[in-house]
Amino acid sequence: MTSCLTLTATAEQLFPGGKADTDDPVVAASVSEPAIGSGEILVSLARSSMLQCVSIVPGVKSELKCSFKPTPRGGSYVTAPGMCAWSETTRGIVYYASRATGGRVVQFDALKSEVVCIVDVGTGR
Amino acid sequence: MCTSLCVGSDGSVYVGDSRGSVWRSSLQTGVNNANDVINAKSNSTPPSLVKCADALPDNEAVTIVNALPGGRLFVGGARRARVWINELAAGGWEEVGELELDGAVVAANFDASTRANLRAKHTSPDTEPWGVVTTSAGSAWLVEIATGTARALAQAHPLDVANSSVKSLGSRVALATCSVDGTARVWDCDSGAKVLEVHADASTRTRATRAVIAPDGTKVCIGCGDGGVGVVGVGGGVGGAAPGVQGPVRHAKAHPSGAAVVHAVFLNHGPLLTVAADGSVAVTNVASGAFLFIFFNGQLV
Repeated sequence: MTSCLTLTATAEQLFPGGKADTDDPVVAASVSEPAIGSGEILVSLARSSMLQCVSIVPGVKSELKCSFKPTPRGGSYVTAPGMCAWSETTRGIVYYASRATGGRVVQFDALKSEVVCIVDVGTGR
Repeated sequence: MCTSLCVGSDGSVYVGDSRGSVWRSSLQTGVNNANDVINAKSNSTPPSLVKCADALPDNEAVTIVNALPGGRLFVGGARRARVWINELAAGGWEEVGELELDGAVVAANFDASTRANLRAKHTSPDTEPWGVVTTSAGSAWLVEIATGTARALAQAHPLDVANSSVKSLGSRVALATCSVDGTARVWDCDSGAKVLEVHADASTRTRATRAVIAPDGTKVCIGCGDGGVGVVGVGGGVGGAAPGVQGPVRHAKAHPSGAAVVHAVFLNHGPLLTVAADGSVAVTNVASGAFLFIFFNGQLV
């Protein structure tokens, strides 16, 4: 069975337009489990230069919760431009590594909008 | 340098580096409430990562690290993958097995429901889960974690497999793959047969960038390079019939900016959440193709 998207596409323009940030696109994203009660979902957006966290309650609201833009540091670059993952045990904690962190892993608290710690893989500290 | 990252179900962070080592940090363990966070901040000594093992030989960079149940780690590299187990009694990590592959590991899927399904079909009751690994050579492999053995499933694509998704599909297990050439395909893991193919069209940017299977196994959703989402129904082969496509591909413009979809995930067996390269986030009701809302740069639109 073969299908072709271009033959069946029926695009619906719901957003008036927006200039995509081609200089620093989102290269990876991670979605948290919904919060108990509110159903809030946290979405982390990893770019090469920064991490953004979006709070979403489906059908109710969405907002840019916080951003983290590390001071570009020396050291080795990660293979991927950026990567991120939510903690599965503590809500709001996200791990982020990118070129801007020099390959270091940043533990970021999205609920408090602050860095908890930065770990250098190469040295183990 | 960090080349791969995952978070285990116990909260530990596993980091693969460019020299083939895997590191583990239990940073999360002591940070369960506000006081712990404050304590963590007030501690001048930064948390450390502990090396689990030199997981791959010859300083081969880790391309994928995946924490599995039972204290196991799946570690993928340029031409091989290894499974390691944390032997708590011995206090260290031991290699379970090595898989020789035909390219770099680009994706490894060990879905819980799929594990149960595949275990029942392909392994004896006392063996451990299977997963599906795809490589930069375009091939897909069924991997038995316990023994470190692999069976070639299919030459999924002529070029690199960019990402993949595995789900139970009725009585079978389906693998959705997406290649760097923009082609998405769905495979029946039992027979190795191709169920669905969506061609790339480079001229219109409707290349597939992500392919995910709905939790109930009835649909395959494809994120596209033009910000669209394609949805197609897939039959599960009920009554012994071969799985197949049901109905046409429905295409919804999830990201009107036209930025490519870079991430797609189903929310609690419901709508599909997609993230585009411009940072816009869309939630699409794949049952009807209608949008719940779109978020872009901090505004609800």
